[in-house]
Amino acid sequence: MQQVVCRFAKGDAVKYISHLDLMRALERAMRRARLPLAYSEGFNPRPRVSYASALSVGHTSDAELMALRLTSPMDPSELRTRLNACLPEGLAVLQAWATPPHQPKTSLGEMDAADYVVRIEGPLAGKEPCRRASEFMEREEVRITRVRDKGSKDLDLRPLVSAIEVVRENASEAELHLRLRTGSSGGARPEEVLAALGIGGREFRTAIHRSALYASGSRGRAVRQRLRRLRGE
Amino acid sequence: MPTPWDDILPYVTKPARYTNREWHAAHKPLDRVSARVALVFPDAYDAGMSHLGLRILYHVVNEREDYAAERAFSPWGDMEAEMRAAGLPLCSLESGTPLADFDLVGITLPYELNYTNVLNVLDLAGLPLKSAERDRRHPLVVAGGVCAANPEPLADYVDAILWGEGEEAILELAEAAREARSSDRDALLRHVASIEGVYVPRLYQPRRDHGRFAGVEGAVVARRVVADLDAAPYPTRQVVPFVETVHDRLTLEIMRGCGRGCRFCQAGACYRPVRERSAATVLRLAEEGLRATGYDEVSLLGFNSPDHSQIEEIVDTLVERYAEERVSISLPSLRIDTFSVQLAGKLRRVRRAGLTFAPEAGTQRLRDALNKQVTEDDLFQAARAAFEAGWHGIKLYFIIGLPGETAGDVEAIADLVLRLREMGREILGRERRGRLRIAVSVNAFVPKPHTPMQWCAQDAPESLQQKLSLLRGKLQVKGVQLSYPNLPASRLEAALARGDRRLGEVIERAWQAGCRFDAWDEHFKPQAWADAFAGAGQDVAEWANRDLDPAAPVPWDHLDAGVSKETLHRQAEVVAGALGAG
Repeated sequence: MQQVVCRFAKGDAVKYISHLDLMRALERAMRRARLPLAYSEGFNPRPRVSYASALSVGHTSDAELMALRLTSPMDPSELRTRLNACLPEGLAVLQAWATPPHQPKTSLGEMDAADYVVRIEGPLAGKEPCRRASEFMEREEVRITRVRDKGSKDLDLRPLVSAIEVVRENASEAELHLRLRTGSSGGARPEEVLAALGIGGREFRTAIHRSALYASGSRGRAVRQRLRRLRGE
Repeated sequence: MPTPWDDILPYVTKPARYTNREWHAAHKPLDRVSARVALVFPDAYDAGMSHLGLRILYHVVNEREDYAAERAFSPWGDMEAEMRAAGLPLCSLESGTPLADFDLVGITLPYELNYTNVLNVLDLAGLPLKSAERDRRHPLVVAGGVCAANPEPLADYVDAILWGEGEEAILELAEAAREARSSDRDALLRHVASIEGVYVPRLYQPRRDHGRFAGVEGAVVARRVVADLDAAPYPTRQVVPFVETVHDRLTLEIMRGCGRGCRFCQAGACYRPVRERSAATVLRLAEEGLRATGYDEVSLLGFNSPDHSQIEEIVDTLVERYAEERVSISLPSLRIDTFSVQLAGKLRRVRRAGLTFAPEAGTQRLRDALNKQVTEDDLFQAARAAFEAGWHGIKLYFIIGLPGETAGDVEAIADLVLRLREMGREILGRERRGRLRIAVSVNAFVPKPHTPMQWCAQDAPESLQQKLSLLRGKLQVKGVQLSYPNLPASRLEAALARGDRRLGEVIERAWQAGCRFDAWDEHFKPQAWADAFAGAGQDVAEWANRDLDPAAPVPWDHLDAGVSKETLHRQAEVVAGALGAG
């Protein structure tokens, strides 16, 4: 049994498909590419593919991760080429590397921080995102109400935000870089940060792009190093 | 890739319904083709992308190098509100081209309860609603699908109806529609009326006598039929949706038509004759289709797939060939016999989902009247085989409100279900009987055009309600799940199914009152429809709950399904005779 981890992009063309849609699309592409996929047992066997933290509907990314279990060894670069030939527009494998089967399953689940690049167009005059961002970071607590399908809950947004950097701002557009907690143990949505900075809502046109996923734990450091090496940093 | 809706998509549910870029979606430069065809399904994307007819026509048109077909679906309520607020028209998915810019707009009519969505599509496209108000500035609007069996309620709103099968006719219509912008509209309509299977309502004048329909002037239109199904084009590079659709799998149509002759069902007349694709063709299509799509399930489609003369060869080969790739095979329809149960035993997906049988009625008298050639013994043997082979769940379809039905006939349904349950519990034994599930799906009888029961009234709502209550009372037992119809919606379906052009105004009024997606229980607005009937001076009971005079003309007399009226009359007499015997 071999395991290959892929970093892949979800672009504009497919930014509105849900995480479940994405998984189905990827797995169908793997079947079209005739990858030697390992399957789960039972009446409804599924390919043994695991994914890092789900990307929100409407966001793009070039930092998504998935781990594929294979029944026979395959050169990761060949896998990447073959899969890319079968992926719909907007999806692309950027890197693929082989790992021992036990490792990535845990480390993908441990991805608990993410970087976002946010581009905003709209009436930004007087909004002062830069000043508001530093005020936000100086506060001890930022209470917000998160509305879900099943009721709403109050939470403190502040500890879920590691960094806000306003790279560019003028009266009509701005670019922000965010580092946020993510993953199953609770995270911040970039839209919530924008709302807290007073630059959310329909008068703004917003493009949100996930540029990196991290694991902050000890095993995460190893993955980070590996990723950095692979990116040639 | 920008869509016309970029600014509103972040604010609607399931935005991927409106974005496309799916695998195998066809993207042709529209300015370099000679015929541009918009194929519209008047329901949500998830329902429309499960429709085989749409997939076939999309394939056939796009196979032609110089033609292009793109798709459009009904926007959900929130999307419609956003589109109207922003002043954005309904556009095709592929290139975001407004429907009004196509040469041909082809609308599928899968169900009577989609009619308000048809008007909504025309309106959102910015087209005048009525055919008489459209001219050379507009695309040719053609509708087709099973409701073409009696399209009269929509006759004023469409330019032409394709009556029958579209594989060949769609290309002839597309060719004609290239002239939509240059030729006089009346000349164009006369031209498309000459295409086999095409009916142009404006060229026909209905007559009335004392408020009753009294026949129509004009030549009879024979249903278009593809002679050789095995040689007919079939898509293997099927569009693979991102959004989960109702039938999310590779669909292979292995046969068309139904030879069973159930007297309530339109399939016998409206899809005749029975034709098969050969095992060799089916296996080739399966191989190409699975490779091209990556689907992990193949559905062998047909009204009675187990009736296919080579069904065992097809199923055995598919199961063996694709077991390693975990492809599951499904048969959407089952006959009530042990052969079908054994066949289903080979199919993993069916094993999980349960078996479906359609006895339709609780007594032999009614089953005989329906020509449902199945006895209680057949049903018990099939169910026994299923339980013994390890199934815990079966699903049963019944119709209530059949003509001549008594309380005893309805009680017999409950009795049948309870006895099947007893048998199931016995076979499954102490350990597994707790898992027994008998799903009982009850529908109200809807008289449909071109069937021997087209003249029969739908049962009155109060009577249907009583029968449902009776079933509910008797079937409140562990292991039985009863699902029943929305009765006002069934009544509307019956009225529209047998309606004439006067119902167009009812549909338009309902649409103006906000009716959309009437087939979805949560969207159906009974009061708005009642008001629409009243406003148009029509009585829904007159259309739905009245026995028609067999000697009088019906609004679909000029549409020939291939079954003579004499045959229908004879069959209707057999129904009456069988019911009288009770």
